[in-house]
Amino acid sequence: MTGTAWQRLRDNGPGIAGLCIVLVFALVAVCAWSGLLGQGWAQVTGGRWESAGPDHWFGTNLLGQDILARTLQGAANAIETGLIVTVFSIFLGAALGALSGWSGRGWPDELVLWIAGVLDSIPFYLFAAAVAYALQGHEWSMHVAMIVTFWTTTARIVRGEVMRIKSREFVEAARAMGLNGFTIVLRHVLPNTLHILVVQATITFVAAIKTEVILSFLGLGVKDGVSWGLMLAESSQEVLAGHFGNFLAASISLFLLLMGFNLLADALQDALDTGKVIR
Amino acid sequence: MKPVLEVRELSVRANSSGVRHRLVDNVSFSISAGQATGLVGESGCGKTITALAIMGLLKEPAFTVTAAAIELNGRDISRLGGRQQRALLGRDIAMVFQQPGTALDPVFTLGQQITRVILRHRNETRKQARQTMLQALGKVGFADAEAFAAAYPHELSGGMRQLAMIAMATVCRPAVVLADEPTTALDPGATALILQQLKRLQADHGTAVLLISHDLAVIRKNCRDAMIMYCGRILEANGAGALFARPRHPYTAGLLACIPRIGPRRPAVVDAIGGQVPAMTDLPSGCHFAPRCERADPTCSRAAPPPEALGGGTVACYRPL
Amino acid sequence: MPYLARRLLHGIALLLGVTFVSFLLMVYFGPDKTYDLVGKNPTPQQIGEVRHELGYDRPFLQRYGDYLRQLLTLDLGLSDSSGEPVSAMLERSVPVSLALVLPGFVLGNLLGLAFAMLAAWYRGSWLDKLITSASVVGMSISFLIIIIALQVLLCTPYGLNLFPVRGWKVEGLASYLYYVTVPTLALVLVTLGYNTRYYRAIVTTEAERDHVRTLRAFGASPVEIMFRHVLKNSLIPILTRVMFSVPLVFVSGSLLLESYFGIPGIGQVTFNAITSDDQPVLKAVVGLTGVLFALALSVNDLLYTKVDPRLTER
Repeated sequence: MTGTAWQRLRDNGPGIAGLCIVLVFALVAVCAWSGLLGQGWAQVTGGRWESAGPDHWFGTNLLGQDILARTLQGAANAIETGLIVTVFSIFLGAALGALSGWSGRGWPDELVLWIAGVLDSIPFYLFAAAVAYALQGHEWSMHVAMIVTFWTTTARIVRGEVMRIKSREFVEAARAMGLNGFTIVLRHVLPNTLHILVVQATITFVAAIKTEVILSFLGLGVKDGVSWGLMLAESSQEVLAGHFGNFLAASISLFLLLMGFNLLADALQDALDTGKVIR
Repeated sequence: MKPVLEVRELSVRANSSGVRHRLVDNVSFSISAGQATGLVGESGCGKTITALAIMGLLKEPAFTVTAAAIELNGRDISRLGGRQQRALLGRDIAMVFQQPGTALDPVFTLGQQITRVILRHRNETRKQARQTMLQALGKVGFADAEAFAAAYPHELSGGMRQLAMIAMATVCRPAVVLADEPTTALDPGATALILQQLKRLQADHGTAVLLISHDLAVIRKNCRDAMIMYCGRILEANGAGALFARPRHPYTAGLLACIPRIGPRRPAVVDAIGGQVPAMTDLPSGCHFAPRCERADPTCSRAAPPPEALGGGTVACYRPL
Repeated sequence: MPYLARRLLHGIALLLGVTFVSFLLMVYFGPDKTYDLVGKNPTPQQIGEVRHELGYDRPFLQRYGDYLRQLLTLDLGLSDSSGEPVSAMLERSVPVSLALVLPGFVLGNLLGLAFAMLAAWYRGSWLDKLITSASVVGMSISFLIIIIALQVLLCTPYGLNLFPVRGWKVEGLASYLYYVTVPTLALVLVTLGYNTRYYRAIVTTEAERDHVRTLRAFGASPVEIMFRHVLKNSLIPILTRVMFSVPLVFVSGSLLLESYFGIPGIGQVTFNAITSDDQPVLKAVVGLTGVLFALALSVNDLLYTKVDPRLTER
């Protein structure tokens, strides 16, 4: 990030708060992955629906599992899902978007746009169900479904940027020097889209986490393991009987993480001056 | 003859994130009926802001506008309430903008936009307003007024759009028209048409025109008086002929020297004024032009020179030519 | 005319693409139903017969053709779980979903636009900041959370207990309102944040255009500027957004709401089909919604030309 952008980011109070929240969750995720936190999430360590106490800070769920441990592990899960989906869909989107934009209204452009249009036309949850079907319920079907549909937004944005950049003089200069299209795009055009990609990455992360929650609720998401989506699914019946532990733990954590990312995304947009990029 | 528009000590400050800087500094002038006064200066010197301030279009908290008086036919228009001000704009005083391409609403036809102005300010029925609108279009030179009334802005050339803007600005016969660089974005043919229209307004309706431009030739040919603006201040004001024949302020002389002249005796020589226009956030103290002026001495940078009468006009300079 | 023709071609290409993808996923790569239909210890001949019956031995393109034909003639077969004809299931469940989702959809967009215009007009003021912050908060709360929370707050003794937890026995206006209120509220709350955000950006951009300055310079009132000019200029991106979100809200919204509140609409049908691996139903739903969406996109393109005169010039 350039100097002024960094400065603007630093001046943005809510943005810094968002960044801190995200970092805290990232830290939690790392601890959970490396075995430091949230390890006993699958074990039955207490009685049914114990309320919050010294043994179980958030209480226990229906099976007697510690809600705190499950929440922390769920955080790790959320971050992991977010990272995988974001990295792959941004890469795919940037690559196809650049190809599309560079070829102007040529056939690669029409092709990519057609594929993007088709993918956007299929409502997501049905597509996820279909992918789960096709992959016989494989664990990564959730990630695949998300990556395959999320790249289209990034691609469209990158395409627009590439088309704009393409007409600028330094590209003509590069061409005049004999560089081929591929090199120009890689070395000169794409770096100019980085600021957009950064913002889009944060937005995609949010979408991925939210989607995972609903997919898990529908039984199409995380299966072995724990996620906030699964916790919320459990809690949907529990709350009718007055047990709010699961619900509160999952929803507050989810809200905090999403809020953190949204604030960060806004701050990045303002700092990098990309204008509002909306998913 | 009492002036139609009189501006006294107009100042505009911009307020952005705690920093206030003067965009326009104590500008005073007046225009009489049927006359055109030119306001000349480089881009960013405050010409447009001056016009917007007179129209009352600069609002708090982004801008602070102060003036001893802004009088239209003797009536102070600088402190009007919302509704009163809106009744004024387009009817008694109107502005023509620089970029006709973006100044018109793209989703309405020319006819619709002009008729709207008529309905707002005149007591006419829709049918009467439409007739008035067609007449106005005819007067500015559209042969087939009906066809143009049904056209959208993007379907016309820049010159035609600007003519339409002039029609809109004059349909209610305002006493004053502020023309902000109306020909800058146009080719010479369209420029001539536009200037011709402004002259017609002055002659037929006694409209007072403030012609803003950075083109000295346009000002010289079309205005009776002229003012030179630099960094928000009027450096020199005089009759247009006198100003250009015998400039008193070093800046004015510099501007005139910039015009390439193809003459019989000397080869065309263009002298640029050394240095650059300072940023509005970082104006030099005293006379703003001092750092670039060949005639400057230390007193010039100490305090801003007040306007003094000289040679039939006024000059703000300690060491005029 | 060439513009319209091109959009039509794109629309058809889209339709073919969508149905092809649905076909691939649901039929071609879908579960092999042979072994469900064949008895114990099947002979190769029996297997062959069943496969022939199911059409598995036909060439790829022919199977795709069959799928297309089935979709377009609504010959959708029978549900695996209930045996009911799929088209009948759709017929009874789609109107229910419409009745469920429509009020929330309309309200969510109208309110979002209203808040957006407020925020844009009072740009920078405390009202604008409040609206913007509220939208960010709204965007950070998962739909699921809203549904569960509302259910607890409004439908259980732990809250106000005014509305039913589940059900859909609609016999008249009163009962309709009784059952539709909480889901509508949930839908509005979840979409409001995004809508306001998006519309505010559009309206703000339009409100800062040069021609708005011209309007003010000719004495137009704030109300006139906002409602006659800014709004009309904002319509294209707004319409796009609305059209794009229709299938999304309709399908995803109904999916969650109906499975949660026990409402027998297309969402519930889909949800049950997902959990019970009911292939015919899923085939039909995926294919048909895809077709609908492709149609929505094409209609959107046509609407553009009505609203923005600049586009007919292509």
